[in-house]
Amino acid sequence: MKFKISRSQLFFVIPNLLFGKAIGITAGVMARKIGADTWTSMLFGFILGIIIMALMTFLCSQFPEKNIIQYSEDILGKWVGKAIGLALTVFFIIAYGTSANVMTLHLSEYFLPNTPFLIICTAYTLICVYGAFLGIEVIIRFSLLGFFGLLLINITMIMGTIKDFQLNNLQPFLDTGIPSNIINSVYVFSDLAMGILAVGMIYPMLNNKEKTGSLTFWAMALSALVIVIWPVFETGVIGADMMQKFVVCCMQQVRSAQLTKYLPRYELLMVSFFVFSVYVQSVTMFYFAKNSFKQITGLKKDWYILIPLTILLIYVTYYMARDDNKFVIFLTSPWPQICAALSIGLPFVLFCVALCRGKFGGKNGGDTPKQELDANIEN
Amino acid sequence: MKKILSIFLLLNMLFLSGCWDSREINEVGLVMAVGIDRAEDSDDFVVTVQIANPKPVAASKEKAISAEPIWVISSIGPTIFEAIREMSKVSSKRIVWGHNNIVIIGESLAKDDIGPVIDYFTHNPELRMKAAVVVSKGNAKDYVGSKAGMEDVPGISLSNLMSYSTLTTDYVQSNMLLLSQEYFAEYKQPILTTIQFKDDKIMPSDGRADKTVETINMSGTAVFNKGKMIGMLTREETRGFTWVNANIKNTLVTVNYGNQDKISLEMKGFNVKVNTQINQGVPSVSIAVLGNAEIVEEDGTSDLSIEDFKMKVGDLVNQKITDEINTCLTVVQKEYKVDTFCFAKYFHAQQNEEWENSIGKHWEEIYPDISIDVSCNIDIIGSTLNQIPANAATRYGEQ
Repeated sequence: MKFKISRSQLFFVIPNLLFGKAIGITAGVMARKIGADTWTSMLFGFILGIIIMALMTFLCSQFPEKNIIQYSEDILGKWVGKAIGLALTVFFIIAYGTSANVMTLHLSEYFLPNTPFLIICTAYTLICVYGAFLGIEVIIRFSLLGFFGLLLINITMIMGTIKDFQLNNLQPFLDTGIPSNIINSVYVFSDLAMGILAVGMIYPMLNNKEKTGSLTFWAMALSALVIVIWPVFETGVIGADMMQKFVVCCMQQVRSAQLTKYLPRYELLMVSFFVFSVYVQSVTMFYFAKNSFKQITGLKKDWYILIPLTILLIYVTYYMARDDNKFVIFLTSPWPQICAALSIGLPFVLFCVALCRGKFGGKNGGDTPKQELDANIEN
Repeated sequence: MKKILSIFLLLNMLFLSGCWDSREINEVGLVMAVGIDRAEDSDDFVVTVQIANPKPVAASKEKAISAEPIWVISSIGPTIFEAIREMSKVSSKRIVWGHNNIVIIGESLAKDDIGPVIDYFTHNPELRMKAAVVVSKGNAKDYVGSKAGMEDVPGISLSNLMSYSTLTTDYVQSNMLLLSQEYFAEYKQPILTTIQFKDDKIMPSDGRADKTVETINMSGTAVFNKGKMIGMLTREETRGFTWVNANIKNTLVTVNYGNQDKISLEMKGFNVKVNTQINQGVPSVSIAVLGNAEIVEEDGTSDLSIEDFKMKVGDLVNQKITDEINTCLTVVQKEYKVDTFCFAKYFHAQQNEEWENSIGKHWEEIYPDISIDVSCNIDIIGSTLNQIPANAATRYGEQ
């Protein structure tokens, strides 16, 4: 196998795949639905996400040398597997658009309001092409930097806003009730799906596949901690009513932060920490969009896919958020529901069919010869 | 491949240079303070900005005499944004809001509606959410151009005054973050510090006679209901609010001891507990103020032991704080009928079921008649260095 990643790299890439959009845009979407219960609803979403991630990890462990598209073909047959590959390609393309727009909206709404939005989308996508060109190994190595970046942004955000934190903004606890909290946790799946489905693609690259369930569990638990702290502080500092008003509510939180009188505003500093993890998220989506398409078409040369895909992704990114209100509406419905259906439904269906067809237990998880597997993974 | 990468990186240099948003430092006018009023004869907004003029501040003393450290301009428009754009016709520099220290809302606009001010400044990504916001008695325009405090730039002086709000109970901390949060919140009603002109006597250094100068004084608060100012609290009434709601680090309270003697105490370690109750469908609130205080100045004498004396002073302090809170409550609850203390939020959090089923639906009718019990328990923990008052010997001698 050409690319191998270590267990620690997989551990650090998962928080990066979930962080960027969840703190910035998902929190605002949820606040519009469920007010001050955003953080509890997000927590419920993560609990469900951890269960789905465990299911995905179990499935992958049964087909340790194959990614989700390859073992879908084994379990459901070639053409259904191809259809799943196509669905995943579309998913990764749109997921790239949502992830990229977290960064482009930060830039266009707060730092570069006069720069044409298309230019920002183009520049960001070109940087992501470079990442995708270098390959998944480099991206995943980069995720360690992204993880430290997200820790720094969390620490500085807490330090800068703790003085204005009002506990009574979070009360009453579970105000809208547990059923409402669980139902509205669907919005977190627009982020969780990126992590769950990416693990389905990354898994065969893992060099040591022992106790991966425990590894992904702790990675998800850590992700929940570093992400849920944001809606807790956003609600405590700016309040749920104000969170609802803004497209990128994490930037409103950052605008309200102040680290001593000598550093009265540090939006740019915080975005500098933030950009690494969003970049990992975007490039991973880009890379898997390319890889999924490559697998279903059988194309060998990366450039044949990278060039048209880049043009497509620039357009998707631009089209998706050229009107930020429409972007928020899209992130409210239907995107989270599609993500939830795909990230919960796909592993569940694969598990059930594999169980019925007795596909579990094989060393390579199927009948594909070893040489073919290696060739697939290299692709 | 390397050629492609090189072209790609060069193109990114072009894309990422930030040409569209570039602002050279010598081309920008940094706003230090802004005042917004309602025009006298129309619904237009009058926006007045105080722009820093860096040359006189940085130059030598001789040169500084010839030019002011600030430049004040004013313009009018149907919206705040349009009024600001009007300034570009007279300002040779692009106006930048990132360093603005304070937003002064004129009394007339505050009475009308502060919504447009909040809307504009929360929309504007340049403005810091921690910029102070105050309401002026009279027109904000008059304050923007006036001298305030010891700084060369009055906007900075006013902002610094606001940063001392945790050391006093005479006014509250009010900034764009708190204001917008309270304005958008379901239960909260904004409260903003007020500023007014005050005549102060100063003694010139050249030995000439004292003269009176007009300075800007921060004291009292403006009370809002649904975005409109409905009244102002005096300094004494404001103290009643800040005891309960403000995040006070330490502050001063002075009580009368005996007929003419006064004792000042520095209050520390505040803790306020607000509890709500519903007895047989009747809601009530109890407020308990707890804290510590040290005697920092005592003009009086006493023949009591120090412990008895502290207890006696403690009773006086408790009574004074309780009275101030009750005075404020009487004004906001009975006169203005506005939930400035945000008791609705406490009921919602503590009595959730009753709130959802009954109280919440009729809160505005119920609120003015709610019984509010105030108690205060300040522990006098010492008398800062002195064991016996400094003038005790003299007074005892007189006796």
